[in-house]
This record gives sequence, C-alpha cells and structure tokens, in this order.
Amino acid sequence: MVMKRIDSLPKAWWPVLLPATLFLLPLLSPTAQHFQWATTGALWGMWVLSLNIVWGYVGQLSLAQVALGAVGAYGFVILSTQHGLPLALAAFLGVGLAVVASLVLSAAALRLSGFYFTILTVTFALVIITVITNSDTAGRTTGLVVPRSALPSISLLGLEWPTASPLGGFYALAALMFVLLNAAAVLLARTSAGAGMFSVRDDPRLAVSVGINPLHVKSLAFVLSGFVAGVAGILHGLSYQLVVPELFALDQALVTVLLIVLAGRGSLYAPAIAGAVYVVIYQAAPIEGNYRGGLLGAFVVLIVLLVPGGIADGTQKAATTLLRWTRRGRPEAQPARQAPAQRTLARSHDEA
Amino acid sequence: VLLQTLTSGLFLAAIYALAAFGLAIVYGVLDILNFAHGALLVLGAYLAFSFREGGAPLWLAAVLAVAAIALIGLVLQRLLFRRVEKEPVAGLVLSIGLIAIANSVILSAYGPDQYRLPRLLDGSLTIGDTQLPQDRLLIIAVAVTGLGLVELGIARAGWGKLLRATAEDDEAASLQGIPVARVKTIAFTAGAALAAVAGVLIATTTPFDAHLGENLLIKAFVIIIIGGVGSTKGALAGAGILGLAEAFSTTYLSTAIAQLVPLLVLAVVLLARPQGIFGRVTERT
Repeated sequence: MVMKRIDSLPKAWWPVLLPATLFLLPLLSPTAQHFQWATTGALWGMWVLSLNIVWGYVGQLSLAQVALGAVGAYGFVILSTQHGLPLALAAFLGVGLAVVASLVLSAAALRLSGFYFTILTVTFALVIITVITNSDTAGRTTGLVVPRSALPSISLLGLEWPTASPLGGFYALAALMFVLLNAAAVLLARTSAGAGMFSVRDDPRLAVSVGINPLHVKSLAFVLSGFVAGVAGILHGLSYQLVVPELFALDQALVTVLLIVLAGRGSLYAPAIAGAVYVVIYQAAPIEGNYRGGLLGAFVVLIVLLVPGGIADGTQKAATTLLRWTRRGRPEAQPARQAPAQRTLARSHDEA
Repeated sequence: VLLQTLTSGLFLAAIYALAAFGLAIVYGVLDILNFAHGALLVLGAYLAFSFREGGAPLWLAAVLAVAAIALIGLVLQRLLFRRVEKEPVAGLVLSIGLIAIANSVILSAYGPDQYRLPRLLDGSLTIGDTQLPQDRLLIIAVAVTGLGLVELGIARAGWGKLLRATAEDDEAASLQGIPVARVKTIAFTAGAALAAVAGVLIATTTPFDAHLGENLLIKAFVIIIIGGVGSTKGALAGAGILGLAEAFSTTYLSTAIAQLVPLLVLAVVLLARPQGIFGRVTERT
C-alpha cells in the first residue's frame, strides 16, 4: 500500500510545486549572487527539460537540443536587432524556427534507430554551429550583442520586476518561464499522449500493437522539446547579453546529458534537480574552475554504476524504504518489479 | 596542385582512419559508442609530450604514451564498462562522464595552451614542381600498412575470428568456448591504444589542445556511419572518402564549404544507404 502511494506521488502536483518553491529561495536572501544562481539554475533546467522530453519521454537521445537553442537565440537576435521586429514577435519567430528544426530531426528519428540517431544529432548540431561561425549575419565567432534594455517589466506579487535589470527582474523572467514550461511538461506526462510517449520509449512494438502511432507521439515530443530549447536559447542569450557559438557548442550538450543522468532521466523532477546540481557544481561549490566538469563527470560515473535511476529515483526508493521501516518496524522483501512496458500500459489504462 | 591535394587528402584519410578504426572495433565488439575515444586520443598526445619533456626520445615517448593509454583503456573496461555491458546507453553515458573527467585533468595539468611534438621527418619530396612533406607521406604509409595488417588479421587470423564471432553474437560465441570477456577487454584495450597512436601521430604534424579530441571524435562518428557502424572495413572506406572529399573541396571550393562536406556526405549516405557502405541490416534497436 505504502509502495503505491509513493509511486503515485509524481502524479500529484509535486513536480510543479517543488521547482517553484526552489525559485522562491533567493527572495529569502536577495543578493545579486543568489539571483544569478537561480537564473542559471532556471536556464540549465530548461536545457535539461528539453532533453527530458525527447530522451526521457520518448527515448531518443539527442545531442542537438542546445543547438536548437542556438537557432532560437540567433533567430531572435537577428530578427529583432537587424530587421527591427518587435521583441515579442522576434522571440515568437525564433522559437518557431527552433521548432521547425526540431521537426526535421524528428523525421530522422523515425528513420534511424538508437545510436545512429544520436550520431546524426551530433552532426546536425555541428552543421548549425558551422553555419553560424561562417555567417557574417550571425557575427561569426565573435557573436552578436543582445540588448536587454528594451525588455518590458513584469508585475508579479504586487511588485514591478523590470526584466531588463540583471538584479531580480531577469531572474523572475527566467524562473517564471522555467516553472511554466516545466508545468506544461508535467501535465503532458499525465495526458494519454504522455502515456503514449512512455510506451513508445519502453516497447515500440507493444505500443504500436495497442494503437499508438509512434510518428504522432515522437513528432509531438520533438515539437515541444524544440519549443523549450528555443525559449532556453533566447533566455541564455538575454542572460549573457551576447550570443556566441560557444554558448551552444557540443560540450554544453554533453553537460546537459550528464546533468539529466545524474538527476534521473525521464523523471518529472529531473529538470529542477539538474538545474540545482548545475548551480552547486559550477557556481556555488568552492572549487577551482578546472575541476568542476571533472567533478560532474565523476558523480555521473558513480551514479551510473550505483544508482542507475539517478537522484530522483534514488531518493524515491530511499523514501519508500524509510517509510516501510517506520510503518512496519522491519524491512520486507522487495516486491517483484513489473516490466516497465507493462507498468506504462497499466498507467495509460488507468487514465483512459 | 592535384598531386598536393591528393597527398593532403590521403594524409587526412590516414589520420581519420586511425581515429575511427578503434572506435569501430569498440562499437563492433562491445556495443559501446565510446565518446571518450577522442579524449583518449588527445590524452595520448599530451602524455607523449610529457614523456619527451622528461628526456625520452620521440619514439620512446610515443611507445610509452600508447602503452599508458592502453593500460588506461584496460582499467576503464575492467572497472567501468564491463559492469554496464547489457546497457549500451549506460556505456555511452559513462564515456561522456569520462570526457568531462579527462578534460578537467588535461586543463589542470597542461592548461589551455597549444602543444606540439616534433615532426617525424623534416625534408620534403620533390616530384616535378610540387613539394610533398615527407612526414605526411610517412604517416600515410604507416597508417596504410598498419591498419591494412590489422584488417587482414581480423579477416584471416585466428584472433580475428574470435573478434568477429564476439561481435556477431557474444552469447553464441561464449557457447562455442570463446573467452568472450577476455576478447572484449582486449578489443577495448586495442581501441584505446589505436586512439593513442592516432593522437601521437597527429601531434607530430599540427599543434594540439584539448579540443582536438572533440573535433576528431565527430569526424570519426561521421566516418563509422558512412562505412557502417561497427565495421572496420567501413571505417577505412569512410575515412578515405571523407579525407579526399575534404582535401579536394578545400583546394577547389573553400574552407567553409570543406567544413560542411563531411556532413553532406553523411546526409547522402543516410538517405541512400542508412546502414552504411559495409553495414548489415539488423533489427537492433
């Protein structure tokens, strides 16, 4: 019984509320550094969210998500500064470009299986970065300046948040976007489309046999993840007030993969946990810059060997064990685990 | 100009073949898409540099570096990759984690500066009015004979048979009494050693930093897809195609286009023959 309760927790509002509360933390001690940490956490949480939808939900490991962000960011900057479009329209079109690029990838995802697709995404990302570094319009390797002064103010909680300000305002914008997109992804996971995504991931043949169309499910996942990547890319550019190819290079995509594995791929909590982990390792931890990446790598190696489900799954299992201990006073034999495919199908029946 | 372009194309092909061959062996036998292959390659170059600083002559430094990387490969396979044998994705994630660790080690030990090893040979060969650098010709010769012999061994020799049987179906192979675990360890170690050989040879021709690994890794991925993932023959063919295509487009078109050529070749191959030139059609998902 207890087991069941814990398992159904992600169905509740926790995956939406937990990150939202995380972002309220800087308000307890509103310093520039804390706002900046929260902003960084939101930005990296969005990269991971984008990857979680394609890799965690439908099982396609894409290393092109960050490059899709570059499409959104460069589209936004070029349209707004060089063609004089209003910011909102430029942002909308930039995100639209990222979604289109993501759909192109999804066409490949249906044609190629497993690692072939992953390698294709590496080269797809490389094409995007190569085009950028060879284009004068995109500022080659020096990049383009992103003016933040034209950003509007947000009225929230009875306060005015001038989003142009690096202090507070931009943090509010980034956090709000993350919480909204994360909530959308959590909702998606609970719809029948979401259940279809999980079953395509776990057992494509079984999914087809119960009438799920992998084409529809995967395309939907790529559209949404491209959307998130586009928003993340634009916010990254706005945050640094500069778009340069390095912001969207392959090593950033690899960091995203490490973060999502550490946090727990496929978990609805993964994006928030990953954002927090990034802030701790890359900004808050008092260690020399060169060692930060290595530390993340070492953690991931340990997690893969010891806790394959990542932090999210590990915590949940630990909590389950702890609860059972306190309720019964003694541990009981672990019930046999259901096959993953059966579990998701059972879930989709529940909801149908 | 034609001769020069041909030489530089063959040189690129030789370098790419060295880089991709080990990746193909590791994928073919162990089913691991080893992202850390590029990191091992560049680590080999750094180690050779350090051994030379320590007073070893170039050849000894190279041998020591290759041996050290082979040892690292052996330890990694025994300690890490063997534990996730049944989950290819976990192997891939491990290798990405190892890149992050390797980059940290390289940055803190060597910093961001560029290094280089001395050339193997200094002179150049003059044919007509074109000058061909001798060291590049030597590397082409070394790669062609070395990889040619290994490829021949895989196709004909007893150990090649063990390797192919394990790659084909490790369970069936182990039922035939093939020591599958040992074959896999040896394959991974050999792949690491090949990466180091490639790294050292490249470092004698061009300055390098930590990014060398990433750039060559991407090329090597493209090559093994063109040739058919896991096929060493395919890796050689893919490297040849890519090296020549790049050299000729650099000479006759522009460097910007040459950067995109590998990707164009890849797109054509994927559309026309998704399993690669020498790939088998399998139901692997």
